[in-house]
Amino acid sequence: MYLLIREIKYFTNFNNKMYQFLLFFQPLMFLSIVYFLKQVRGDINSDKFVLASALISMWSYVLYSSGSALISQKWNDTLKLLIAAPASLFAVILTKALSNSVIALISMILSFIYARFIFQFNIGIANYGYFLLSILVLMFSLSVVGLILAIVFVASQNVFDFQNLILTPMILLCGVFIPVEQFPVVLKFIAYLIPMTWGIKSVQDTLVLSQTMFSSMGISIVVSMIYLFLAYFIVKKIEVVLRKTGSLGAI
Amino acid sequence: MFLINKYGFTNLSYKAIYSFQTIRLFILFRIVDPFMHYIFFATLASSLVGSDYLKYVVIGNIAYYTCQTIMINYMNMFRMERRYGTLELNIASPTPTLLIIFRKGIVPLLDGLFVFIVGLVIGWVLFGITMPTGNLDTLLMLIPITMFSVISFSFLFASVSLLFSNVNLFLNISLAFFQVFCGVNFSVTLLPEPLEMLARMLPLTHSIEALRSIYSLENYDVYQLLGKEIIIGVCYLTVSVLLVSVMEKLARKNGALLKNI
Repeated sequence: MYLLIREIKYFTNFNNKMYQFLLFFQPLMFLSIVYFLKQVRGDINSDKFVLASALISMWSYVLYSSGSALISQKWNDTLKLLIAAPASLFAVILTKALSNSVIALISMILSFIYARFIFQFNIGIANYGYFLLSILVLMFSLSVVGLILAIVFVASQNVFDFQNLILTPMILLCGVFIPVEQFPVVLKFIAYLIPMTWGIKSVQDTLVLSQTMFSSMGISIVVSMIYLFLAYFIVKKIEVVLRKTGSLGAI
Repeated sequence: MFLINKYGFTNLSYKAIYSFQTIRLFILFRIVDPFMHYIFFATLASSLVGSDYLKYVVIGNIAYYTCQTIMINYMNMFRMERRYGTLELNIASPTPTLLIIFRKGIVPLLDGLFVFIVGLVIGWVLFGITMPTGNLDTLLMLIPITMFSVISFSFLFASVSLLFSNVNLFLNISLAFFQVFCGVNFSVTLLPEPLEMLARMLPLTHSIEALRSIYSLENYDVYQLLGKEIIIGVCYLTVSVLLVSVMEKLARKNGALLKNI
């Protein structure tokens, strides 16, 4: 908990300019595009697109922050301290992934504030209790995805370049704009394997109080738990390899 | 020998600046990445406004992605020079600073040109944006004009970026600004009047309108738009040349260039 609070304080510090664009300016950009495109055709239900703007910001933040969590330790020369520390590497990375999800939530709240007060969009949340519950489920799935990304990008030298490469495909694949049910079979299969797809689906279902909202939340939690266990074993393995050989992938 | 030296300078600059040194990376980041970018905005606009709007958005984003490629690369060149402390060496060298900068600009220019042409081919093959066979000469005229105005702006943008301690934030905000104000996803006529005026002072806005007109997605006078784009390019080039000259003089006087940042 102490680590979590320290992480959140560090990354929400206004002196830390690295993520200011993602948190403050990117939602403005997407909402502006939605606002002006709405003028092209006036009868658009903007709720879905306000939520989409928020989800894009959340995903971008998690991708760039959690995705480079492990390799940035190497860049800052603190990886060896982490390996030598009494806390396990998994606990440290999980804390980072969790704190990044909490900050991503701030990005979502900011998106809603911009949407309501700058662009005058209505955000039709039918039931705030269920919505909050689905957001917690989404945050859990985002944390797990962040954890996986941290592990995947260990192997990459050009971390930021490859992060840019998967930024938009993941948004499309997870059904932010087009429901996953409408995808071709192969894409549908891949999409359903991503925990974030279910987290996003549960938030979208809750927004319209769909009958499937609880099952979406349940599946999201189950899929995320599977990946969490998988990540635990992989990080343990990474820790062993790092202790033994001192190097792994790009680190 | 003179030509080899010139080529060698640009080649060295390419090797120093670009992280995409292999064919595989080049395909990933210069074909796959822009393609994903076009799909993303096409999906956003299609799900918002309808699939008949798809071509309109893809054309805008092809021009935008080209601009983004040139701006990032040009700025990166200046940033790397500053990071490795060689910015002042350019000024101290017997070769005129402007010549150095122009030669280094060849790589971003060629890169942008590649992205632009590949973008048009992607638009043709995958989004059904039919090549304008009747207007091919106008399209061939538009490409160098757009490149000229974008690279002139990038020259200014890269020089100004030296004043910022956090260049990434400045770059991202600027690119988001271009995405909203250059008519990439919607016509600039939808913007409030003062913002439309601002949009018309930026490079790309007129080029995008001209490109859409060539592809018969809008109905503007292409030659008039291209004329305005040339004027905008000349203005940015003049300001950036002046700025670099002032910076050079200050650096010679103080013995350092922006050391306190």
